[in-house]
Amino acid sequence: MYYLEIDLENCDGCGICVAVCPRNASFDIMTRGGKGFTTQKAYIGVKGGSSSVLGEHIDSEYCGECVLNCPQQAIRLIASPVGETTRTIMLVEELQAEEITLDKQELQIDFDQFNLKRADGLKDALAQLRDRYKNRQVRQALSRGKLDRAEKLLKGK
Amino acid sequence: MSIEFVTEVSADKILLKNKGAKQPRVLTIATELCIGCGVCAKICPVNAITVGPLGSVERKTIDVPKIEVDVQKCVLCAMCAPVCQFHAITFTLNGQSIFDLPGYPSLDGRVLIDPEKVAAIQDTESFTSCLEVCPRDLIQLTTKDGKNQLVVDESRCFWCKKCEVSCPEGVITVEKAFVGELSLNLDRCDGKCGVCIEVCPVDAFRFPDKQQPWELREKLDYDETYCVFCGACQLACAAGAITVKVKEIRMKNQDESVSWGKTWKKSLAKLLDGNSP
Repeated sequence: MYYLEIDLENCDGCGICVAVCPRNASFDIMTRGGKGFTTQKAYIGVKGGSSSVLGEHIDSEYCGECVLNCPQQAIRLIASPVGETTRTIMLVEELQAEEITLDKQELQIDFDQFNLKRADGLKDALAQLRDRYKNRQVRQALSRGKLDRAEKLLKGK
Repeated sequence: MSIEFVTEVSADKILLKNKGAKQPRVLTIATELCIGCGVCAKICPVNAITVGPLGSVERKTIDVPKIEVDVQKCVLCAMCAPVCQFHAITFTLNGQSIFDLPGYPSLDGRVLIDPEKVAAIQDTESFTSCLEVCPRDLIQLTTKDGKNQLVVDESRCFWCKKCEVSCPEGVITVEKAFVGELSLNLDRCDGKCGVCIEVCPVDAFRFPDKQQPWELREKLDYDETYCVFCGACQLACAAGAITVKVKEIRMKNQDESVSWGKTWKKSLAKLLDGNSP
């Protein structure tokens, strides 16, 4: 998963990103001349004095035009571990359902702050979790609700 | 002994292994050879492969590999390796490449060289453009018993046809592994971002030249001659202006008698036009 991060402190709201974005141009011919966007479909637009991403999430189509053309270098493309994050939270919920205590609250807080900055704390937590349940078979047994088998596997180690 | 799936990432490749298994399987992705066309992602039965932001990777605005494999999902089935035109994915089973094993298909692109015609041409200078044109520098000219010989390293060739066009007539014939069709929707293209030009492994796209300074130039021009129908441009285009339709994928060593033969056939059909995402 990737997303654009816009540094609101540095963004001038000049609208260059709106004009250069080929995704905008494909939806709305007005943005091609730098006239801003007129439809709701625009991917990136200036709202309230600074740029923001308006469109839906895209997968592999990030071209880098706005990142390269921003005069303030306020836009960055960031790889997010969000895939891993959601997976972790699912795993934590599964484990909690089986009454295995884990610091879920801590994880949840980090996840909430995720949109503001990369959650390094979350990464650590994930690593810890992985360490604890290294064994793929244990994870599978847990996810299928086979507690006895998981216990056996853990004790056998 | 437990089996553990691990990844090892180094500067030029990504490795996936099943550590501790009786039958060691290793998936290797050479990041430099990878174009990011996403054929592997389409054929993967467990959706473990995701394609990154191709244009941004090419322009170095983000430092990630073009494709990523999720260790949690990958089952090391080896379906991605045979469909990779660019030879970026290799797979070994017990230390042996799957292309040497029976039952595993591989792409059937061909480079046919006519040795008699090569020998008939005495002037080595007529081969200059022919040797330089290969995007991976795989063509070499040697002399044997006073006769000219062309050697093509087919292990890394992706059958783009550039040599066929640039070499003296009839010397090289290339049969592509992927057959298809490329189409543009210029209403969506903004005619200036140029991601497709940067992403394309064979330079099939270009911005047309202006004849007169006051003329408006066409937004984008393309040439299907060299296109290998990988679909990287379609994935990279933010405007959704490019469509690549694959009509046929030529495979050899397709063995339907092995237990996974039928699944293979179905999965390949999934890649063809109409069903591709």
